[in-house]
Amino acid sequence: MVDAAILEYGQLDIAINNAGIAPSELLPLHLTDEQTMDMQFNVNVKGVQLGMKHQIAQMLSQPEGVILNVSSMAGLGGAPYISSYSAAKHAVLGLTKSAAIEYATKNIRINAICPFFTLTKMITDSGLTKSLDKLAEGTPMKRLANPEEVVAFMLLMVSPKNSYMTGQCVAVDGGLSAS
Amino acid sequence: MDFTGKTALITGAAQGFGLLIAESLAQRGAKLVIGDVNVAGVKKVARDLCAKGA
Repeated sequence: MVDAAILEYGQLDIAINNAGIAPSELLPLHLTDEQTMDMQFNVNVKGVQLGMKHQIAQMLSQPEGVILNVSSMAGLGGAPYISSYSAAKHAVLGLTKSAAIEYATKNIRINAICPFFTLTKMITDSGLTKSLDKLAEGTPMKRLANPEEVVAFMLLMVSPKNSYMTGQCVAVDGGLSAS
Repeated sequence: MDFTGKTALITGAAQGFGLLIAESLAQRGAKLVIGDVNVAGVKKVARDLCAKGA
């Protein structure tokens, strides 16, 4: 994809590593199979890490660049019964913060957004739909986010004017992490 | 926010956050490279965005 950007437009200013997979079901750790662990790691961690590797290599040849990784509230705190997903999303924050420091003097800003359960297709199609009302009730706002509310902040995070923010993992969670 | 002249790469752009951020950036002047494991889905997104002038 980086090659496509260069071939087509000659530069890569912004990269948003958003692709990810939801946990397939709610299970305690001792019942989680290795296939689930590998799947979560391969897509949600290595997918982001390999993306960053190629994006950063390109951005180093330019005056600047911005990377935004989509993590999760499950990356900031424990997420019971989806431990593999939580571990993977924690790893995304480790990549974000480490790389932010490595490339800070190269004008490559790298941040992550940590949404709480949001009513995207990934969630509404997942095995989690039965839990959504309960999850909403647990937030100070008593509701889950609409995708537009999260994207509004993603836009700010990659905005050219937002030039001093790097290495941050920002919760967009209806106040959940404040409580 | 103006993204005119900026090139943005977005993974997982066939749906959800990826689709919405692609639309938002395109509306604000960015040039896009989008990908998704759902190839048919992301091709449709590309066609729709091009039809809107992206």
